[in-house]
Amino acid sequence: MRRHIDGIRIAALPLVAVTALMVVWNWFPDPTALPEPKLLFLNGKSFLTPIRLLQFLALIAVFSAMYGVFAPHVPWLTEFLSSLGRNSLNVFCVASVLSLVGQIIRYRYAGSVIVDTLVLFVGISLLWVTATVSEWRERQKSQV
Amino acid sequence: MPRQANAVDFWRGFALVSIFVNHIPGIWFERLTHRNFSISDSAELFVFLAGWSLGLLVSSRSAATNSALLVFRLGGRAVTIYAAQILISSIALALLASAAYAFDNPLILEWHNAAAIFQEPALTHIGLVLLSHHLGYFDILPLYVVLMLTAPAIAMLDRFARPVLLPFSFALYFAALMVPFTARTWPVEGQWFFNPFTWQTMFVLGFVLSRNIG
Repeated sequence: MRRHIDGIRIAALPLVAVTALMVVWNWFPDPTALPEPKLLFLNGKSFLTPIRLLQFLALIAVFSAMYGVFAPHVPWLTEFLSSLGRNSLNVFCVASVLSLVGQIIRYRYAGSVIVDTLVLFVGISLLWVTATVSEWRERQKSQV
Repeated sequence: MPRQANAVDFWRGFALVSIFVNHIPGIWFERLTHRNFSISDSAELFVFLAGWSLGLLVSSRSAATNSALLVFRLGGRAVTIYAAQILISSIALALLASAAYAFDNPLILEWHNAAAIFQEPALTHIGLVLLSHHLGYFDILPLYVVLMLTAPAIAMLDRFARPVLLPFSFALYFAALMVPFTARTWPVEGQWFFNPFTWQTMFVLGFVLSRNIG
């Protein structure tokens, strides 16, 4: 499959472009007008309907190439995101809790752009702290 | 030493940041995440990369030589994820209760499907432990637990009957779409936000593609 990846990317590009327009302009068919079984034709997250599955595969075919751009040219971003990814369960747990904290803060302070920026900056910083502490712990364990 | 930066960790980090932002509805930066231009969002990426990571683990030298060790490791991972789900759900409930008291607003206790836990705690706590009751935005780890519980079967099918794995996964996927069926929630009547019978296909695709490309 690796040998054919360029051809797959070219084939996937129109699907990514058309579905992007569908999302931006909300071009989705009326669910009541769809034939049975409707889940084969709907856009539904809970059931991961075929259109989502296909569009996702097209999306990763196209955008997986971007890592080769980021890695040499934006090394700090590559290292930052990779450190989150290496510690994904810990970071996911902290992110889940922090996003609820963010919701509560936005509820209390009525969500201005300044509050939103602070929530984002502090939240992402804490995700980085979580990844860094997780890796420090792993290093300590490996030395014992 | 942590492993060097690589594409899988990079995209998983990307998914984690997107999930964090998307789980704060209304935040200004929500309009910048890729779901505004894409039908699929970070949940698909997260599950796909979980399957991809499983594929890399299964093809590692230690796992390749010892099936029993592999099954033990995958089972242990499922338990770890289960524990994480219980922990973050408990913290979330405490946060909601704290906010309700601090702002003198009992309606906060009803956010994110939490009402049943405060109004009918006996049954709903059983549901939390059985993973049949999920808080809103805290519903992807139960799927991940199920996927990791099935991971030993996926790994063994891959090892001993590889041509069967993907057709079986797609057969289950289309059956769940056409019948349709999903996992039910309890004690609040409803269904899992992430249908494990369909989302398993994303996990298996990540697994299979990692074995062919990774």
